[in-house]
Amino acid sequence: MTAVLEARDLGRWYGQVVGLNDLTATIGPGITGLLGPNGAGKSTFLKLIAGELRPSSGRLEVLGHEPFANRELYRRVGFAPQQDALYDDLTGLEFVTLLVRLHGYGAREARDRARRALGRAGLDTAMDRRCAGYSKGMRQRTRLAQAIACDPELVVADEPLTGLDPVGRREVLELFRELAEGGVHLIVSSHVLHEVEALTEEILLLHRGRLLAQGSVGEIRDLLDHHPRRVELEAREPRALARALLAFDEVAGVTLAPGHPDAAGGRLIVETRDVQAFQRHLTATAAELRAGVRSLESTDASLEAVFDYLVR
Amino acid sequence: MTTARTETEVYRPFAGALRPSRLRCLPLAAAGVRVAVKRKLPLLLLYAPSAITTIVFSFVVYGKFTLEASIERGDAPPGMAMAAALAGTIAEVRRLLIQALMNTQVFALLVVTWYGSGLIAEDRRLGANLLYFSRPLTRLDYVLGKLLTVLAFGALAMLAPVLVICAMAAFSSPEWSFVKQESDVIWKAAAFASLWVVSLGLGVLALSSLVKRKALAVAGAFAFYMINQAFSGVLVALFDDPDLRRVSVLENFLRIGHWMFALDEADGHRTWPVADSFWILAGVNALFVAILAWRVRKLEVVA
Repeated sequence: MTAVLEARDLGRWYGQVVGLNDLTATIGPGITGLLGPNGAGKSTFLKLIAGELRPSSGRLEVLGHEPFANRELYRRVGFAPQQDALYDDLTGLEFVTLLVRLHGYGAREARDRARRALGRAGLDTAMDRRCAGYSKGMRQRTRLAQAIACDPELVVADEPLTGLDPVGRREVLELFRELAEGGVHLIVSSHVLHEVEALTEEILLLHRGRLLAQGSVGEIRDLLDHHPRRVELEAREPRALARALLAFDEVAGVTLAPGHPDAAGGRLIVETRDVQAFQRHLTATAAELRAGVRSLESTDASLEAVFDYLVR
Repeated sequence: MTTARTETEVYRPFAGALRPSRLRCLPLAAAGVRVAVKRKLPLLLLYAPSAITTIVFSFVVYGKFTLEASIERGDAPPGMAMAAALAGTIAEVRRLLIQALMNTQVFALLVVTWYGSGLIAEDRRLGANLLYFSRPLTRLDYVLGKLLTVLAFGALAMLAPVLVICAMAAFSSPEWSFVKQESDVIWKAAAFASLWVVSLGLGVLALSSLVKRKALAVAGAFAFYMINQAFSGVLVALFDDPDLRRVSVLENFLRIGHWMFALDEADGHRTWPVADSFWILAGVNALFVAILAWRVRKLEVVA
């Protein structure tokens, strides 16, 4: 009975270059997104989880065990690296079969497992073709297939959405959801913020080898007190409404912007330090002024906005 | 930042039938061979010389014995003369066998260099080692798998021709006389071929582990053996000491070969103690193993 992953003061450096520094985090079951710009340390962290790298400092436990050189744990973790890694002269089926055989399965069972995994990854018709003829997306799917072929408890995928077309991305995300529903835990790194956001609420944000934030996007956003929340609204009488709103303490600023060309009125971008108080005041003020508020949305509660705030 | 949560979960037990076998290197070796044989042209070009040598020498050996038999039938020589003629033929076949072995040494060098050079270098370039080492595969398994791949190709280039020629001699000689009288040459040839192929394989894999491109490893392997040979030649010329040929790996193999097959050293080229050659080759191979261990250990660091 333990968390999927626990890292304490985890560090890894390559000579003078710091890959990961003092990372302390706990990852629970389900899907977790690992986000960060290039060089943030995502791949290093994933390789540490997969047991490819030995930590330079600190401690890491995956499924209750230290992963480096832990061959028993390797049976329980599937790793899809970012690197191409495929042998062009083998077919997808041959390649995945080889990797499954390295787990100790017999030739027939390995082939069956490889076939099933490639099928789940959407390569039913292409698995007997040589990898040399695969598109970037198909190569990505092959890497995913080898990661899930041995029914791991934890799948670690490094940038699994890179190179996939929109349909492919949807299918892979669907596969991740299926795996999660089946009890598999996933740690997925990506640059594609909105797709990770669609996949999971639980994220880890890394930047320059350090952990910036962990938790759900909403929770993290709530903690960013020094950045006023931004709310966009469309109103029939934007100027009058803006004037009235500026009188409230929680409103830090109001910007007028052109509204929808087909609609009368305009758009207001309000920066507020307390969204709930603002909403209370807005309702009363809008009614009093007959400002005709048509829409209201929070524009910076997205992962992308949170990410921008944190790394800026 | 939110407080980190520690979730509890009962993990699914591992399901599946794992073989208890520790020989994880075998699937890796088989895959290496499978990848290599997908390209037919290099296979054809590299094995053609070995195949031609095998066929030519097999026919010559076959001819020696059958010709001898026909002469015996025609002239009906007395028993002593027959025995002497057969002994001469067998000695001639032995010489042919050793000649074939020495010829195939070069072909084995080509084959092992070509097929072995990319084995680790390409894995490093592609990042395939990331897939291997996230599985219950030790680094020793990995090296053994790669080495077995190389040995398979090397053995096919060098050991197989010798064994085919030996088989031809055994079946063609009357009353299995070749096997009865020259059995030592068979195992010695097999031992020499194995030594050559293993040493080459280790060397080529060590070079392959140092670079990320097959072409560089191929060039490095040829450069190593050629520069080594040329350097020994320069030393011999400079110091007028033929024993300095010992500096060359190839010369040491020749010395061991000549010693094993009791070949004449009348030219005085390789007169140093054969034990020196064994020590030198052991040292070189230990160096290759050390490089392999170091580089494969370093495979964990992939930027």
